[in-house]
Amino acid sequence: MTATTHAPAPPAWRSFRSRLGSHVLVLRGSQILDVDERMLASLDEAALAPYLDLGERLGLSAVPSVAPQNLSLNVTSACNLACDYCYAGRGSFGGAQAGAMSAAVAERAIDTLLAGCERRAMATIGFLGGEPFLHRRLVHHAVGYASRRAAEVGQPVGFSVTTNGTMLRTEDLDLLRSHRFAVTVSLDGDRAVHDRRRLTLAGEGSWDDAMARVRPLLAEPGAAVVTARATVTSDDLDLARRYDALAAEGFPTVGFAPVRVGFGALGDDDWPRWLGASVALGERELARIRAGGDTAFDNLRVALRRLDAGSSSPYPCGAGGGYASVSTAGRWFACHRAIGEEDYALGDAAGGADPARQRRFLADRHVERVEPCRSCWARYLCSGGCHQEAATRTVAACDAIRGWLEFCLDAYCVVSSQRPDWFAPERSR
Amino acid sequence: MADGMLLPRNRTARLADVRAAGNPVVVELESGVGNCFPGLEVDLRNLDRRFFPFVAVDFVGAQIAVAEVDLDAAEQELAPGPLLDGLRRLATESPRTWTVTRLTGDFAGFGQLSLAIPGGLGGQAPPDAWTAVRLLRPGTQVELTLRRSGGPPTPPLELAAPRASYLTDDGAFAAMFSPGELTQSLCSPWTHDFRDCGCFYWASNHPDIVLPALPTGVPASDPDWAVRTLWLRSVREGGPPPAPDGTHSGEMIHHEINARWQDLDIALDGREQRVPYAPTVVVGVPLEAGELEPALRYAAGVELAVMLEYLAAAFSVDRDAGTAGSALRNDARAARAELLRVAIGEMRHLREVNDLLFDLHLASGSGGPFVPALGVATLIPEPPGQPARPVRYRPLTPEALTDFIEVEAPSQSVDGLYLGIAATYERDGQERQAALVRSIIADGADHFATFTAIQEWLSRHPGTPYLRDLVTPPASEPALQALQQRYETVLDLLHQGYRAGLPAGAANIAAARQAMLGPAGVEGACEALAQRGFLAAFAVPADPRFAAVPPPP
Repeated sequence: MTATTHAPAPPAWRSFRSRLGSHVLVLRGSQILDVDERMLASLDEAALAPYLDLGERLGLSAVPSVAPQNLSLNVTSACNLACDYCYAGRGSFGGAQAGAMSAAVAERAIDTLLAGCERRAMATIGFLGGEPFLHRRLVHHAVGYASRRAAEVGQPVGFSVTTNGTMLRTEDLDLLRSHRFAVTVSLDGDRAVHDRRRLTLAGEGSWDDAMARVRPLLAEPGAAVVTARATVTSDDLDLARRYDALAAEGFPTVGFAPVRVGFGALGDDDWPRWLGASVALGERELARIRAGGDTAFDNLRVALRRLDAGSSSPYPCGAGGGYASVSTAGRWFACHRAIGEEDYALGDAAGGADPARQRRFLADRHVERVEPCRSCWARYLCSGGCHQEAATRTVAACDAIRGWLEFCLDAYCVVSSQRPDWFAPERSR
Repeated sequence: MADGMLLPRNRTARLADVRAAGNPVVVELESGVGNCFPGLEVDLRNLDRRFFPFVAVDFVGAQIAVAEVDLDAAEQELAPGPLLDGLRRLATESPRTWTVTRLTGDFAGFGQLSLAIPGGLGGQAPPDAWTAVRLLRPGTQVELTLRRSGGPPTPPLELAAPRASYLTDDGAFAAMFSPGELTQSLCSPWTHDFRDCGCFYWASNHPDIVLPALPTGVPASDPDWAVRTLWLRSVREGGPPPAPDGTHSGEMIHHEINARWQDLDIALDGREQRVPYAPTVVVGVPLEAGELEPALRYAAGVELAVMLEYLAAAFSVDRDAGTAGSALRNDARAARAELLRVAIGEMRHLREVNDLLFDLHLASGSGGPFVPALGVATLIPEPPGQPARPVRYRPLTPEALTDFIEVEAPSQSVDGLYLGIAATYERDGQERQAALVRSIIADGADHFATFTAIQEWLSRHPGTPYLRDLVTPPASEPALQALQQRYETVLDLLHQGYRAGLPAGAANIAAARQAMLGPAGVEGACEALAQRGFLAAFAVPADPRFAAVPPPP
């Protein structure tokens, strides 16, 4: 990359075409406008003034100071599976975290969260591992403790868990059904696809075991919202096959995440193929929506809803701001993927998040201060992507994200014209 | 200049679009009159127009008259039966000639009743037809008897159905209402209502009294055009209009309003405007790094200083001036009470500024104890261009009142200080802190309005008969020493409370409040001084924690 001493001001808007016509995306506030050809030819700041002004008023350039609202507890480093692409290195994070979380550590973390969070918004407490249900007793204890404490202080609270599904017991399903739980089940596709990577420690496939335990939850979810999340490796980019298998099992949403680091990671040659597969599945599901139906393709669902709301952020996630992750020993980190990494530490061994450290963390990662993101038109939509994967940003990977967003912008214009009811908030899946 | 069409599509773009060129600020939801006068967004009676499924009624005086029948919806949704038959008959036999003559149902609070309409109401029944309908519980069975008025005699019609609800389960207005239906009977400027309704009974307020529009070239200070006059006056051109005489004489009559309502002027800042209006916008300049804390400490000192000035002035006002019930006594008591209210407002600001300093302390991560800001300011800022003035304990003379008004004037002196602080928090994305500072600025506007009102009340009494005859006490005065001691006790308790923060410091802060009130508190000491013929005054304590604070450089 060539160094410049005086970087030009990054563009504030971008025109694009959908199958309906021409549009403008005002980057701050992700404002989408329809524009006729006459206006397009002479579009300038004066014409866009109210939209640029709204964008300025959003204060996206500032480094926010927010107390954590969402916390994940890394309840155990142990896992009964040995997936070769796991970022957690089977929960031990390369030796940075050992053992299991104690009830005292969980209670202290919950107390600290409840003391500092915003009462008007929901606080969430997530359970991660390893496999969280290997430490079932703590999960049940923490849910009970947090519910009780939250009720005492008048804090709305929800829960989340990411699980491989194979350890779920009846009492766990009852726990998930009886609380506001977002349950993410790590499942990669159909049995053959899944069992290629997600192996037990003995080297056997885990699909049958996981599905036997998850199906009753899908049939009777109670208050839980269940999502399948597939991890996609470079050797198999057939997203439609994976999607169809999981949707057929009755998952109301199915999301995909490509591996970007380590085993199975997508390389520069793979990204165009990833984009092609995503758009092909997206087109198919878009047709379903246009025909009056719905889709479970979560990457598309989330993108369309975010575009409708005009979501824009200088950060890809809440890490270091509204989100923190607690190690088994009780130390707070900005992200669950960075347990043990000193530059992600938000406080000392006593736990909690130090506002000065949060501020430094966020100041360093603001998308307007990150190259090459600061001049990219997608900067408030992609926000630079996962902090942990920043090193894997390549032109090819970024082109795939921009390509996907271009598809989603087009799809948004179509759905918002033909199926405005699809965005209604009370819509059930 | 760009040319052509630009249409917002998603939610943020639509949000920006309400502020697009040409749209006034009142198109924003938060400008809705319902935010200030709940209920004025709609005519509440219209919520009950569709209390009976598929039928809309109007409440006309004591009558319930049928307005329309939605037979299409009824045909789709109802199974064949007496209700559908009855609705068909109603729809085909000139629905607007029918009125409800009997209403039977479960009226909340009154129980199951059968009411003749009109008449048969009051006593053990709802007082009027609309209230009766309003009290019908949603979902309970309602029976109507309807009769035709005029035309050849026809047999009455009986209809029975569950009472419809005007809200959906989500709390939104039910889809049965048409756009405009809920607001259709609100007061409108092109009707007689503009003259007859109280000035708040409006979807948008209108003034009664205004300053007249200035002719070209006439300065606002011209006394002829500084006369408050009737906004509804009939003669709108010519020389300066007269002051109102307390009657409606000279106002447009009903017919004139129908014909000329558009001649009525828009009034902004209390004056009619006939040329494009340019508001005075004062923008705060964000402070540089390191300037915020000294600015906050000085702001705390100014709050403390003006609070003490207001206290001294409040106790100079004679609660017993004039005779019981006289205008003098009422005005004096109102002035004193309002002055104390403003002083209490400044105490709250002192606390809020200390809260902001506490946040800064936490964010700095310095680790040491928090140092509260409880030193009185050496100088009080004046409007731009004037030197700051020293703190002075004075009776509420007209001169002192003028100074108080200047201190609280919007966008000047103290406000100017806070505008920079607010801009700093806004720049740094600290919205909670910025909102707190903006609320302090807004309080200043209330204080300004209050002092202006006090000035108006007291100016009716020349020679300041509302003041006690007080002089500055000598340092040796025992009552002054008692006041000083109690004042320092309050400061000490606040210091402990602020330093500990919440919740640990709550007990000390509560104790400080107690130490201000009653005969044994600061209040009692001020009153004791006044009874001995002295003004309240406060010396800067020798304790270095409460040393005077100079303005930042």
